[in-house]
Amino acid sequence: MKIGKEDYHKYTNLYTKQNWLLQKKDELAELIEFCGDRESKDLIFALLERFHYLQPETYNFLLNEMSEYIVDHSGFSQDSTQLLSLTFDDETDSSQKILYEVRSYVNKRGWTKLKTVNLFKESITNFQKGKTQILIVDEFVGSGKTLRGRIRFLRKHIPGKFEVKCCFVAGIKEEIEKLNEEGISVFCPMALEKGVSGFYKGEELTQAENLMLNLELRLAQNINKKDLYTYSFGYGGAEAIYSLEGCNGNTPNSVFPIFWWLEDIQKKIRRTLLTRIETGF
Amino acid sequence: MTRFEKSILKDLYESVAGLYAFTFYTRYKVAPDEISLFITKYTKKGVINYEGDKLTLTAEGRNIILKQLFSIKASGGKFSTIPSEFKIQKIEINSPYLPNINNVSAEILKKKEEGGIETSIKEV
Repeated sequence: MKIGKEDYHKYTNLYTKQNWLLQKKDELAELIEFCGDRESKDLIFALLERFHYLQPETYNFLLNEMSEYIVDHSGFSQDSTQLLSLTFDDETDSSQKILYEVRSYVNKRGWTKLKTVNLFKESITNFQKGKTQILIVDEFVGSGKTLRGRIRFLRKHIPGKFEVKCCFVAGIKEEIEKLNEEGISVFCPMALEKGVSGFYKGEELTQAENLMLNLELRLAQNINKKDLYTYSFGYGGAEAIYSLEGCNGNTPNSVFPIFWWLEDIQKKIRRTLLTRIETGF
Repeated sequence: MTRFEKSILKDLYESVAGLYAFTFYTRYKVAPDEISLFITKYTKKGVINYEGDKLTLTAEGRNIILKQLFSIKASGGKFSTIPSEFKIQKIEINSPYLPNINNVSAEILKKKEEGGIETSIKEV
C-alpha cells in the first residue's frame, strides 16, 4: 500500500493511541479509503483517536465501581432489591451480560443473596414477592430512549409503590444529566462526551456534522428492515464512540453507524471496523 | 531487537533534531503499524520521545546507544562478512602464489596414472 506523508502520520498516531486497531488494519484501511477526501479522513481519524474501546482491565474496574454503587451508595437493601436487566424479549443482550458479570462483584461485597432478574417483565412478579427496590443494570445509555420506555412500562404495570434506580457501565454524559434532571436516577462510572457535538463548536461543528452526514449518505439506506435513518449519528443521535468488543461484548447501536453499518450505497458488503450484532440486521 | 529497530535507532543517533516517522517509511518501508509498535516500545523504555510526528532520542537513549554501540553493519547479510576460519595472512596483490597441493581438494586435482600431477591451477 502506497501511503502519503499526512496519512502515514495519522495512521501512526492512531495505532500508537489505539492498539486494538493493530488487529483491524484491513478494516481501518477500507474505512479511510471509503472517506475519500482529506476532511472526512481527518474526522474519522479524530473520532477513532478519542474512541473508547474497553479492555478487560478497564471493564473490570467499571464493574467494580458499579458494585460499589449498588451495595454502598444506592440506598437500597439487599432483601428488598431486585437487580434487573433491560432485556425485553427472548433474545440475549448486553444487559444480561452486565447483570451476570456485575453479580460476582456485588457478591464479593457481601450481597450474597441478591435477587437477579434477567427478563424485564419478570420485575412485576418479583415486585409482588417483596422486591420493591428495582435496580436496572445495562451496558450503555445513549439517548436514554430505551430506558425512558422501560421506566414508563414499570410505572404502568407495577401495582404499587416501588423505587427504581439505574446503573450503567458507560453512557453519554449529556443524556445522563438529562435523565437525572427528569428524576430518573442514573449511576454511570464512565460518562462520555458526544463524539462530534461534544468536541466541536461553531463552524467546526457544522462542518463535522456535514462531513458525517455525507459519509452516511454513502451507506446503504436500509438493510433488511433496518433504516439507516434510525441510526444516523447513532441511535437517538447519541454520537457514541465506545465499544465493549474487546471484552466479548457487542457494539451499541448508539455508535456512529459509519463504524458498523454492513453495506454501502451500492449494497456492497463492507468490512467494518466494529460489529453490531442485532436481530434482523 | 529487530534489524529495522537497529537501523532506526542508528539513524536517530546520527540525526541532529530527530526524524519524522515518515522518514523511516521512505528509507526502509516501515509500515505505520510497525513504527507505532516501535514508538510504544522505546517510549516506554525511555529511549525516545515522540511528538509532532517526530522521533527524537532522549538523553538517556543517546547514552544507552553510545554505550551499547549497536553493531550495525554497513551492508547487511550473512554473505557480507568472511567467517574467521577462512581468513589467512594476506599476500600482496600480484605476488606469486603456490597452493599446498596436499590441502587442495581431490575434486580440483586430476592425478595422472603415471604418478604425475595435473592441476587446474596454472603454473605461475
